[in-house]
Amino acid sequence: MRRRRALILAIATGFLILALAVGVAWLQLSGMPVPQYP
Amino acid sequence: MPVSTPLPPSLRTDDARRRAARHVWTAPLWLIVYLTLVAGPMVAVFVDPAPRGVEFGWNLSMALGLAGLSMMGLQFALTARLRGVTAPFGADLVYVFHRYLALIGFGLVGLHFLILWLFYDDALGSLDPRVAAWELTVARVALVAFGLAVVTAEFRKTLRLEYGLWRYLHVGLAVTGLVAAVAHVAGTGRFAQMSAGTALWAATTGFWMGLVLWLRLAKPWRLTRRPYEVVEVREERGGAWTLALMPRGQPVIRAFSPGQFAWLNLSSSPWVLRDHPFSISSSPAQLPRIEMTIKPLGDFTGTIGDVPIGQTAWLDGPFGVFSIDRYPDAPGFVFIAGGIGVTPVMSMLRALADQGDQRPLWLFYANSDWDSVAFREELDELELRLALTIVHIVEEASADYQGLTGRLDEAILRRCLPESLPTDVRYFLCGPTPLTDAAEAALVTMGVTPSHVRTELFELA
Repeated sequence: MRRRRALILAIATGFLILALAVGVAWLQLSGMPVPQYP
Repeated sequence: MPVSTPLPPSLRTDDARRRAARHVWTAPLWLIVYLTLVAGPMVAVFVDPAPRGVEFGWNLSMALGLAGLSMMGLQFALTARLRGVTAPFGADLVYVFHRYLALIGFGLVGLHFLILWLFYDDALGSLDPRVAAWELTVARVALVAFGLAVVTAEFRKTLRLEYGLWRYLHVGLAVTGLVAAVAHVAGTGRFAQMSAGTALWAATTGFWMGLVLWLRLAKPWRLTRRPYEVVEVREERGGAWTLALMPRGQPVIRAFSPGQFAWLNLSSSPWVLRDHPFSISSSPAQLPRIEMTIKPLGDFTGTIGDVPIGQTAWLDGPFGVFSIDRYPDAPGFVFIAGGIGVTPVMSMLRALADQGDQRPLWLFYANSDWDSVAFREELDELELRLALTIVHIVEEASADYQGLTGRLDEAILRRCLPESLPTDVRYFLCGPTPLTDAAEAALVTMGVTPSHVRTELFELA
């Protein structure tokens, strides 16, 4: 049960961070162009 | 042998109540701190008014990279054995969490790279390190190092990596990945050069590096001043060995709750990455003497019976939440143990006997055969001193065996536990995963509140 709870908590953490990343990326749509590397 | 005076039960009970109350709010607090530390750098960078990429995909990739790196950096905190952090959850669970979060953190870093590879291939530049920008080459080094750290941890046994060697490899890969990833962020500059971003990254990086230095340098250095000595090596039934340790000077473990574990290192120095977690099998009343009962199962434990008397040992602990001390008001306890998983239970039973506790106790003890039942004779004595009922279950019965045969299941639990068992009784399970999984399922079917069942995670990986 504890192992399963840890897994569920870890997956929930991952989804929360992913949602935050999508959120902050969505809110910032202007600025510098994408850089080009050799 | 010096024997410390145990605290009166009332003082111990009050202290346990206070600690239990504190864990109720510290557990969610640490989760919030974790999320803040992971998401903080990413959010702070993106709310900074300085300019950023022009596209959602680019920004998302950067955000995922920052969050993934934060998670990888915080992996060091999860294994730093910080007692305040592990206490509400149990150090065994924190290690399992470390394993799962490594997969998720690496997944985020992988997504960061995948988005760039799919949609911004030009931004990745050449793969050839001779012509590629150094900050992108170190990013590739970080990706490979993190990937190898995850793969070698997940498949260590399949890859037949010796545990000691793997420990060095794991730490080496993790530190390499972290340093390379931090250099990548600093080198690419667009996020770190902003005022808020610079300060935040400096602080975050300093924190991660501080953790690495604390765990790998400062903590072992503290242990060098507090060595232990092996004073007895005793063979138990079932091929297990009990190691008794006494401090040469000031003890590292001044107090512990029965059922807790400590990291044992039998190397010449605590700097050597050869420490392993083992349950303490002795009672706190025997402090500063510490006993650990270990079954040779491979690698380090294979030669445990050959450890000479007088050998120097290093202990780091105690850790864990698998203890009756957490439930001072419980009207009784049910212990379910399999094989050498009985060691933390022995510590709890010995402690209860030392305290003259007369609460009702049950021990369901599963073994392969009757001759392998470790502590068999001592358990008979404890049955007389405590209000303890022992139910032995063996898979293969011999002629002199009178108890139950087969595997522990719901029918055995129902038959041996009284129907009028108080609902507040607490259950402690320790042993191989198939046994604890079966016992957990049976107890829940029988109507036991799941939060009243505490399972020690026998294998941390």
